[in-house]
Amino acid sequence: MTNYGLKVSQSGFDVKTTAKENLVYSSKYNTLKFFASGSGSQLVPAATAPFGPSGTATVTIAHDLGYTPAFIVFCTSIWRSNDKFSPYAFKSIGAISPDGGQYAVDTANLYIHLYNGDPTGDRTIFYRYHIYYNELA
Amino acid sequence: MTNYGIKISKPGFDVKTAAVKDQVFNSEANSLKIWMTGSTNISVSEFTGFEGTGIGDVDIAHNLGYAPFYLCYFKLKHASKLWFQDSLDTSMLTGNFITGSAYSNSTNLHLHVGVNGDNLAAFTAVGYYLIFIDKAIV
Repeated sequence: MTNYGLKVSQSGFDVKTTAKENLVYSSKYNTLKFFASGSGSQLVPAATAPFGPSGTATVTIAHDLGYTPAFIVFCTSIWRSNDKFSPYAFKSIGAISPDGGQYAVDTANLYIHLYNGDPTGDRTIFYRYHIYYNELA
Repeated sequence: MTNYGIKISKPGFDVKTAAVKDQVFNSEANSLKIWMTGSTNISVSEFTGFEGTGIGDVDIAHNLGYAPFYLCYFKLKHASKLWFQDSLDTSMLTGNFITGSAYSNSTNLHLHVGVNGDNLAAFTAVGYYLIFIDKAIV
């Protein structure tokens, strides 16, 4: 294999000989490439009953890439303060009464499905998302 | 500190003075490097209400020798959506529970699909993955 391209090693490592995990960058390897990012908030209605079906709301972000891209979403939970973001949903009572966010993508949109398992009132959930050019295939 | 390397700034920022957060690339700041990507079918057994049913597992060998950082997505029961790891397939939100999850170790990325619901038949899920060169552990 020809040996050409751009490599940058971490401080203290010889770029000509160091292992790939000690590189800051190598043009041999693809990277995540930002397509779009954003943030917002969504009011989610209260659950209908204790341990009953959660209130739900869906935020739809159009990406129009024509393929399913990689993405990451962080959101708050009704059980934590609004300065605490996580990519992982807080699943309360199985699928009956989930909380937080469940995230999906298709060839047109990113879907942020938000849930409120609290029957005492509507709650606002905050979210941030990154969509990458990288295709899931 | 010596000032050399490669910097590329975002549009509207002077590359000579822009903060790292306003740069597209900075050779002093590590970037996630993709080692391998792909997809795999995951055969999920029928859920009968007993432990050990309604599950599917696949190992993806990565040959890195350490546990790498990764991202995973799953096609579960919904016709077109790919779900982020640990998200519930919300098309099943009537007492059924399907989710994909994963972990990495020094040899494999392990993909898992778990079902908990009412007499859900066996089906084939699809796992999509990006495995990075960058270590998940220090």
